Amino acid sequence: MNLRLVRWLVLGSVPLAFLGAAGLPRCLSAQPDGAPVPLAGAAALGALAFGHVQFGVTASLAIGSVPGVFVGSLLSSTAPDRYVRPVITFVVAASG
Amino acid sequence: MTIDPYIILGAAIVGFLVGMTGAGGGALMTPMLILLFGIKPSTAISSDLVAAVLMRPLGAGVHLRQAP
Repeated sequence: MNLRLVRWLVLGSVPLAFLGAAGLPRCLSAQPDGAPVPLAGAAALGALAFGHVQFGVTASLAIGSVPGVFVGSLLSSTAPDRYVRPVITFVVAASG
Repeated sequence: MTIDPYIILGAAIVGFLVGMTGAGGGALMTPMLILLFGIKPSTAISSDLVAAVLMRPLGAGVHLRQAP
């Protein structure tokens, strides 16, 4: 793991999406998965303390997304780039 | 306090995209909860954050194992 790359991603993970769409996804796409974990952990602690966490919604999300993430990351680290790139383009278009 | 199978299905699709691209966790999950399932925004944000803590380390772990 390139630590400086991870640090750079924490600061600017938005341009990464464009890099991925432009054509160097493989080595980079694993990084943003791990980079924001401390950030999300802190935010989740805050949400648990002060937010409106509903057990049913959270449990449904966890049950669905854990196997989804597992299959997705397994596929993206083995499938060829030309199948991964359209998915990255779709996610960028849908979330942007 | 009820577990909704449709939310599970939607979360599985979003989880697949997050694992595949590494992007879009909160940017896809929270709008899905609010717009598709009509969940209160504050609840959607909080629940999404807690679920993200569970799923993101898993995706990162899979990618780390596969890294050359």
